[in-house]
Amino acid sequence: MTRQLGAIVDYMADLQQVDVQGVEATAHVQLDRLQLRDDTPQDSLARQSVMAQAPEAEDGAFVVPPFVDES
Amino acid sequence: MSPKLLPRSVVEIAASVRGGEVSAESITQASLDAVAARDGQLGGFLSVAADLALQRARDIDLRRERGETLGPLAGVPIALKDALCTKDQPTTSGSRILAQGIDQQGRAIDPWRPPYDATVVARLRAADAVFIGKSNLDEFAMGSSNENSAFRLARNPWNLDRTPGGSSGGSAVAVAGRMTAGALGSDTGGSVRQPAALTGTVGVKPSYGRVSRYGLIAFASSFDQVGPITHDVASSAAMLQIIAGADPADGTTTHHRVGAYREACSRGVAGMRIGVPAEYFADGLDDEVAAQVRRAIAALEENGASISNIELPHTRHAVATYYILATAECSSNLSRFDGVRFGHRAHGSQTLREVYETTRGGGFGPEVKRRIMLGTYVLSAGYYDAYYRRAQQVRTLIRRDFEHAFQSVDLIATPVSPTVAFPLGSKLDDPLAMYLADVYTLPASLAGIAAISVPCGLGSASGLPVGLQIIAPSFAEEQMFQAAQVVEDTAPDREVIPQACQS
Repeated sequence: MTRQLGAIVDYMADLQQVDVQGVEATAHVQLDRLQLRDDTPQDSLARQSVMAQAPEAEDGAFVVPPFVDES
Repeated sequence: MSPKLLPRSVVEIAASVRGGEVSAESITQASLDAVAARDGQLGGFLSVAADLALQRARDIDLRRERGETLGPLAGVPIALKDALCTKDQPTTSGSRILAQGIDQQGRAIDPWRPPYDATVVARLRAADAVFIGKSNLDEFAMGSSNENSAFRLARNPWNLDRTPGGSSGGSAVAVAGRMTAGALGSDTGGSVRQPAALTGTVGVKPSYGRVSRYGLIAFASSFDQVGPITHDVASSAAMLQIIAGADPADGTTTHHRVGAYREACSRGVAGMRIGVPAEYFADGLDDEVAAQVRRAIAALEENGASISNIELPHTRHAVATYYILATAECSSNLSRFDGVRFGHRAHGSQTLREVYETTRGGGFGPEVKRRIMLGTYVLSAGYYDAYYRRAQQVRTLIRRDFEHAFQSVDLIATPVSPTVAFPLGSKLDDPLAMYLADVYTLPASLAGIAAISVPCGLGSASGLPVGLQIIAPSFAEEQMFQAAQVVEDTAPDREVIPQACQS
């Protein structure tokens, strides 16, 4: 895995030779065309159907092991 | 006795079901029989919904008998890439992390069942298509050979020792293996076009924003698009017609007019200007692929298109650019698989951190881990400018290449894959070699523009399918289909049946 990652990262260094001086970045091809929806409340998925797929759930909440003071 | 081969055309099946010449049930049964006969060998499906499909087909037949008008895809058997959410039906994205285990046959044990349908799934259902099952894929759509599926190997119906391509390999196998008439795949960097090319089928990557991604399990959100795989161009046009269009659930879909894709197919290419970029015919392109691609381009010219040489000078940077940006996006998208809200959670963890580590460590396969690590690396504070930001800038240069080219041509014609289907296992230990095979499909993905792969004959040395790629500007899918239809009409070897379907 390390050797493979090294080869890929080396290959990616190919971009260092491209002249990008003053070129704007493309984060997304569509951002200039995005449309906003009205800010009105809409129905979402029923809580029960979402919780039904959780590995562990109780009283409408996901259950996880303790994570406070876990040192 | 081998089951009768399914009709190839989505359009013809729908017409005959709508006209009452054939029942949806008999077509569905023929599709299921083909799956039963061939998929044990081909590995195109991760799950098959036989009862549900038959029930649905009978309902369609009943509605026709009652005099109701059926939808435009009435009774058409469809395979859905398993990265698409299907309400209450198994959905794994080819990953262990969305199942509780794998049985002896390579089937997911107790897979995730999403609480909703992807928009494209809902639209096909509303058009009265029949879903046969969920098709195999590289885990989370990451791969070009389908060998990264956590569940089963998919084999090319033309030669069982070869890859069907990926990541929508199972979708291409379902269609090429004559098990369904159509399929949906998803294309992030070529995942519809490349398997289509390698299996002799038609595959479409629509313009970014053309088709809703709602309910498509995200890989790289600025690239992902859902597209059809079918036997012929008109069938892909008919399926795109149904799934295209704005969706309130996906803010990146546009209100740009949906074209009349089926009608466009018959318009021909007279007067059309088609560019051929030298960069796509350089070293690394197999002779037998180049020969068929050049023959198809000559056929376009004979049919009235004017062909000219163009330049897309930043093409050679597409692989590095894509694998920086796509891995960055995937490292973020895949953080949601944490063993807390859905899917698999590793047992016996004492702390939340352990839940994350053991669930993700055991749930993701090596290629997914590789990409998450690469993605977090290129996004890390010390390397962000050198890799991620620079790749975004080169993405701009690649987009400009196309913008410049489309000032003088209407379409661009290229190969899809530098080789025909390669032997299974041949690139498994060399992920970089696998990435480099995507060189011809990545640029259109980076630019967010439309592209299609159309079969253009069989390689003279291998006898395996070759695909021609037609690249169109954003939302110019109609012109893309015009040219694709001419390529199809003039292609040799159209009636050759894949090896796996002959017995």
